[in-house]
Amino acid sequence: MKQLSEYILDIAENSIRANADRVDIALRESADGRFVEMCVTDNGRGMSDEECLLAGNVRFTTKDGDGGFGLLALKAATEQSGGSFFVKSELGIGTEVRASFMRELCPPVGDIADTLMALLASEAETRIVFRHKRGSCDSVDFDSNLAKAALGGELLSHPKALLIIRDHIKELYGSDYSELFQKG
Amino acid sequence: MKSLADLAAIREKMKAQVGLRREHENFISVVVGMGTCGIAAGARDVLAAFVEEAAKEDLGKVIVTQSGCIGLCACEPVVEVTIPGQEKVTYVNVTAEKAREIMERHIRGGEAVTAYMADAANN
Repeated sequence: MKQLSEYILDIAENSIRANADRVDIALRESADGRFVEMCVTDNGRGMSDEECLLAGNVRFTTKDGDGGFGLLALKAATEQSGGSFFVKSELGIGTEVRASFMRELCPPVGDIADTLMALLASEAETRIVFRHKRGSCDSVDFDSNLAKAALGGELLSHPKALLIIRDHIKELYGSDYSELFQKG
Repeated sequence: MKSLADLAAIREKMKAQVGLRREHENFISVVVGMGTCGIAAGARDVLAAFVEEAAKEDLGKVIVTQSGCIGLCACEPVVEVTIPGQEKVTYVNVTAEKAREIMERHIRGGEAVTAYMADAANN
């Protein structure tokens, strides 16, 4: 994968498949500014201690059918970029995946608006909350429940609604979110 | 400027079109495989192309959703198109450009694009 936002999509997809009804996505820089970190937290089925130890290993998956490459790919990408990878999970409670990259070696963040739109285009209608943190700034930038409230219970996954949400997010950041993490 | 307030306007339109809601099962369904294999092969762009095209149609006519891995990892991105009353068609190795062509010829024109179908790719 070429963009950090694609990794985010992939990991948050796991959350949806794990029957989460809420997924929190955060993008932040470390206090010293040297690392960019992505964090995906959900309240899905979670993993047992045994499963959690295997997470990120080749072909390990809790889903039906093929799989077991998403966490592995993310783990490899962080290691190649001098970062770190961390999974915390509890059965019946949820899962947290954190991956950090050294800024200079971090893949471009890319199109976070397309990632959020893809997550919302789901039968599951999972609540998606996205926030970013930089220096002292920590703000929730998108909460699909607010969009849902605007629709009054109608389908969030309708194409016209999805496009409005995507354009709204694009307006906040432009098409490449990585500007947010440029120095100075 | 487009804003989340525009969603309220869509809600009003939807209310005016009773019978087009998903419960009625009478819509064309486009499902894009969004497993790791799909995302790595560009499924996010494919989904965006379908959503852009579907938004041009009447409210409720075409619904675009994503699913996990459909099980054809070697030929991702994979897309399933179901028109009510017809058999499901599976497209493989889809790009944003092919997505627009599928919208035009299959969903608007009613004729499946056989060259992009799973069976054609296997032969």
